[in-house]
Amino acid sequence: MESRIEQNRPAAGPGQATAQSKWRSQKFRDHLSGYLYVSPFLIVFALFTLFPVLWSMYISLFSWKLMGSKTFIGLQNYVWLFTDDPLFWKSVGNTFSMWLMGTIPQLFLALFIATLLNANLKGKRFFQVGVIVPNVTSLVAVAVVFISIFGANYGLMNYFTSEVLGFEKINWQASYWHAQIAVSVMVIWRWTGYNALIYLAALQSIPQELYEASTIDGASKFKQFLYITIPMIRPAIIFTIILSTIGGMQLFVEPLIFAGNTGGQANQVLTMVLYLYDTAFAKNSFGYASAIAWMLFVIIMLFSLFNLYLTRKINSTT
Amino acid sequence: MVVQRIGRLSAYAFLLVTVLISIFPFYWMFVIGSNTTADANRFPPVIIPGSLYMDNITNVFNNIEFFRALGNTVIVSVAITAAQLFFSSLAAFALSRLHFKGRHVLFVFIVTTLMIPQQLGIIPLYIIMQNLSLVNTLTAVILPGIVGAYGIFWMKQYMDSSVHYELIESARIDGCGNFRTYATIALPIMAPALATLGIIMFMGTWNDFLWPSIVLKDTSVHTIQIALRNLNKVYYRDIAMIMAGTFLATIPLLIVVGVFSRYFISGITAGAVKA
Amino acid sequence: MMRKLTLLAMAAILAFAMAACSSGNTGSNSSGNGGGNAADGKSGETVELTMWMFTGTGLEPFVEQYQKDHPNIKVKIQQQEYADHHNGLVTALEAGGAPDIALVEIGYMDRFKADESKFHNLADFGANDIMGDYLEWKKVQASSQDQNFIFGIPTDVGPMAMMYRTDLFEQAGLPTDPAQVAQEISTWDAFMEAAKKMKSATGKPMVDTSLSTYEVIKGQLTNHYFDSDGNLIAETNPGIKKAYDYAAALSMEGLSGKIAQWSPEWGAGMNNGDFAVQMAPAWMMGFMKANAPDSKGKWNVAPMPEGSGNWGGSFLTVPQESKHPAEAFALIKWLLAPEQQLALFKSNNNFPSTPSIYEDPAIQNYTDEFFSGAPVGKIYAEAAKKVVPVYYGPDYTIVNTPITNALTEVERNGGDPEAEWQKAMDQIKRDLRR
Repeated sequence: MESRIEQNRPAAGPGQATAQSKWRSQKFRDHLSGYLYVSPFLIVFALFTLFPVLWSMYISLFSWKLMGSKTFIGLQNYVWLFTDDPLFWKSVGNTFSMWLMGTIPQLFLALFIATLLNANLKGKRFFQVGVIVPNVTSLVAVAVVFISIFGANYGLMNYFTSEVLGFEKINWQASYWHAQIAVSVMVIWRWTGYNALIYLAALQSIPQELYEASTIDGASKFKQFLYITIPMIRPAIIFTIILSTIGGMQLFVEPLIFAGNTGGQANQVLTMVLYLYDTAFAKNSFGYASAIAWMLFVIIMLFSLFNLYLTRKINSTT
Repeated sequence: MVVQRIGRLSAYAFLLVTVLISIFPFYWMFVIGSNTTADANRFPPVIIPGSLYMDNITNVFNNIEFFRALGNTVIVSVAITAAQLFFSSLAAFALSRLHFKGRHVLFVFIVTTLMIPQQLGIIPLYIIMQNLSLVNTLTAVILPGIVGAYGIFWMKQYMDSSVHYELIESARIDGCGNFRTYATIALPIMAPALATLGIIMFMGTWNDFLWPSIVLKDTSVHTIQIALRNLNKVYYRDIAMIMAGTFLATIPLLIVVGVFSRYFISGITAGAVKA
Repeated sequence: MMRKLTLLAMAAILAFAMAACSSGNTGSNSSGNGGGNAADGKSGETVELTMWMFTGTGLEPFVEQYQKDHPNIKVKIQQQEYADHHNGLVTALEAGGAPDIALVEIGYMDRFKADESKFHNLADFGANDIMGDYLEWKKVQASSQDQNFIFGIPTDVGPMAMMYRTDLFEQAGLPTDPAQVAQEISTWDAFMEAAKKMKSATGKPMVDTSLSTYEVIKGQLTNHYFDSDGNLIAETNPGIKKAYDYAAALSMEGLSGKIAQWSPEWGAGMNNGDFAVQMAPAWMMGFMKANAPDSKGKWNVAPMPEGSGNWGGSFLTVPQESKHPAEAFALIKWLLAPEQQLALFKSNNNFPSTPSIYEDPAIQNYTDEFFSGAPVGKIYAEAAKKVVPVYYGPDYTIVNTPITNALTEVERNGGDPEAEWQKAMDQIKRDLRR
C-alpha cells in the first residue's frame, strides 16, 4: 500500500508524474539508495582501515624499532627489499609454491564435495556440518595434532611409512619440500570444507528445471555439470579463485604453528606474511615490516588481476 | 539402476572418509581433554577417550571465568554476524542490482581492500580505539567487524547469478521501493548464501584472538579465545586441561553451524524464478 | 523516503544496542588513570592501580593480601597469556593505555630497557635501598648500563642444573651418584666424552637437541652478541663461536637427538628415556613431572659443567603513564620482599631472587622424589648464586634466531657448520641495519 504511494510520488522532487520523470526518479532513487547502502562499508573502512593503511605507508619510510629510535630513511627500506633481501624473495617463492600445492587441489576437491552434498543423500546435514569442522577446530588442537602427525621421531606419518611400508623415515619438518607438502596438506585440510560450503550455496541457486529439461534432451550427468553447473556458478567460482588467491598469498597461520616465526630453520615454509609478522613482532623492525606490507599488497594485486584475466579467458573460451 | 546404486554408495563412502579426516583433530581434542597431559605425548598415541574429562573441565572452570567469557563471545559473534548479514547483503544488492554511477569502481575498490595485509593494522587500530575510549569494551571488537569486503563480494557474486533483473523489474511494477525490493525479493533468494556467510562470519569471530587480545585486557570483557589462551601458564602448560576447555568452547559453535545449515535446501530458488 | 528513515533508525538502534552492551561490560575503562586526583598521597583517598601480568606467576593471592592490609589501595589485576601479555604491553607502551604496574620477562627486558622514557625510574622512589636484597646479576638485568636507571624489581629466577637419567648413565658405564657425576662431568669436554660413551653403549643421544646445549654454554659467557657499548661482537666473540662449534660437533657425531623443545616429542622423549640429560631451570621440574610421569625416580640432579646458568625470571616495572608511581612501587617493594618470595616458593615453587632466604630450611631441605630425592632446593640455590651477569642488548633475538636456525640445519639436515654460520652472520647484519 505504502509503496504504491511512493511510486506515484517520487522522492526526486515535487511530483511531475510524466513517464520520463518517473524513469528519472528511479534513476535518482537508485543513486541515492546505492550510495546509502554502500556507505556503512565506506564509513567502517575510513574509520578503521584507512588510517592504518596510511600509517604503515608513512612508517615504511623510517627505520623504526618499536620501543626504540625512529629515523627517516626515505625509500631505503624498499631499496633493501629489492636489492638485498634474499629471505624476502625466498618467502615469495615459498608462498607461490604452497599456493599451487595447497589451493588448486583444494578448489577441485571442494567443488566435488559440494556436488555430492548437493545431491539428495540421506544424512546430508551431518556431512555438511562434518566437512566444516576443520575450520571450526581450534588452532591449538590443529597444531598439536599436525605436529604429532608429522613428527620426525614419533609422527604417525613416519610410523606409517617406516613401520608399515618399510621406507625410510622422512624429516617432515626440516626438509624443504616435505615441510611444504605438510603445510599444504594442512591448508587443504582446513579450507576444503569451507570452499565446499561456498560452492554448495551457489549450486543451490541453480533452478532444478534446467537439469530436468536437459535430462529430457538426453544430456549426460557430466555434460550437465560442464554446460549447466559450471556456467551457472561462475560468479562463485570467480569468488573462490580470487579469495583463495588472496588467502593463499596471505598464508600465515598454518606455517606459523607448524614451523614457528621463521618458517623453519632453513625458512622452508616462510611465507610473505609470516616474514612480515616475524619482522614486525619478533625483530621489531616496524618500518621495514611496513615496506614489506606494501610490497605484499602490490604482489597480491598484480597476481589477483592476472588470475582474474586467466579466469575470464578460460570462461570465454568454454 | 545398479550403476546408480554403486555411485550412491561410493558417494557415501567418499563423504564419510572426508568427514572422518575432517573431524579427527576435533575428536582428538576430546581424547586429550579426557586423559592426562602426559597422555598427549604417548607413542603410539592414545586414541580412546579417558575418564578424566570432568576433572579437567572443573580445572578449567577454576582457572578462568569460562561462561562469562563464552557470553562475551556470543555477544560479539551474534552482533558481528547479524550486522554483516544485513550490511553486506544490502551493499551487495546496491552493487549488483541498482544502477548508479561509480558502482563498478566501488566494487573493484572493495575487493582490492581484501588484499591489504592486516597484521600491521593492530597498532594504529589500537591508537584509534584508545582515542575513542573503547579499549576494554566489546564495541572495540564489534565495530570494525560490522561490515566487510568479504561479505559484500560474496553476496554480490551470488546475487549476480541468482537474483534476476526480471524479478527486480516485476517488484518495481508492483510498486516496491528499493529497500522493500531488497528485503522481500532479494533476501529470500539469498538464503543459502546468507547461511554460508553466517557460518563463515560466526566461525571467524568466534575463533578470533589477535585483535581481541590486544584490546580486551580486563577479565570482564575477555572473549572465550582469550580466556582459553590464559590457561597457558608461563611455566607450565596443562595441555589436557586446555583441550578440555577448548573442546567445550567449540560445541556451541558447531550447534550454530548446524542451525545455519538448515538453510541449505536444494531447489528453493526454483519457485522464486517462476514467481 | 519512509524506507530510508526506517533503515537509518535500524542502523541507529543497532549502533545503540552495541554501545549499550559494551558499556555494560566496561567496568571502569578509565582503569589506571581513574582517580587521578587522589594521587597526592592523601592516605584517606582510594588509589586504584592497574596491574598487568602474564598467567601462572602465583602472585595474585599476595596482591589480595596487600589490599587487605592497605584499604586505600585497590589493585585491578589484568592477566594474559605470556606472549599476548607482552605484545599488548608493547602496543600500550607505544600507543598509550599502559598500566600502573607491568610484569616483564627477561626475554623482553633488554628491548624495553632501550627506551627509558617509557618507564618510571624506580630509583626515584627508593629502589636503591632494597636492591641489595637481590642477586647481583639480577640487579644488572634490572638496571640501565650505568646503573642509574632502575626499570624493575626482580621476581623469580631460573637457575639451571643438569637432570640426568640414572638408568641410562648406568648402562653407559657412567657414574650415577650426583657427587661423582659432578666430579667426572665437570667440563664440557668431559660432557662430550660422556656423551660418546652414552652413544656407543646405549645408542641414545645425550641431549634433546644441540640447540639447548648451545644456549647453556652461551649462558655461561660474560659477553654474548653485543659489547656494553652496543656494538655487534657475535662474529668476533670467541666464546660464541666455541659454543657454536661445540653444539655443531655434538649433532654431527649423533650425540644430540633431533627433538625440538616444547614439541610433543620432547615430553615423550623425557618419559621414554630417549635422551640422557636435560639441562633444566628450577621451574621446569613441574613440566617434567607432568609430562613424563613414568620416568619418576629415574632422574637425578647434578650441577651443570663449568658453572651455572639461568633461564627465565621476570621484573615488575612501573610504566611512565602511571599516575601513582609511588603507590605502585610500594606495592612492588612489598610483593617482592624476601618474606613474600619465600612464601611464593612454598606455594608455587618460583625460585626466589633474594639470596638471603636461600639458607631457609624450606629451600635447604627441599627434595624431590621425582629426582630420586635429590636436594634440588640446595642445588638451585648454589646455581643461582653462580650465575654471571651479561649484557644482552635490545636486538638479542635478531642475532640469536639465525644462529639457532643454523644449528638446527646442521642437526636436522646435515648442513655444513661453517657455511651455515656464515649465512647466519650475513642475515644478522642485514636484519640489524633495518
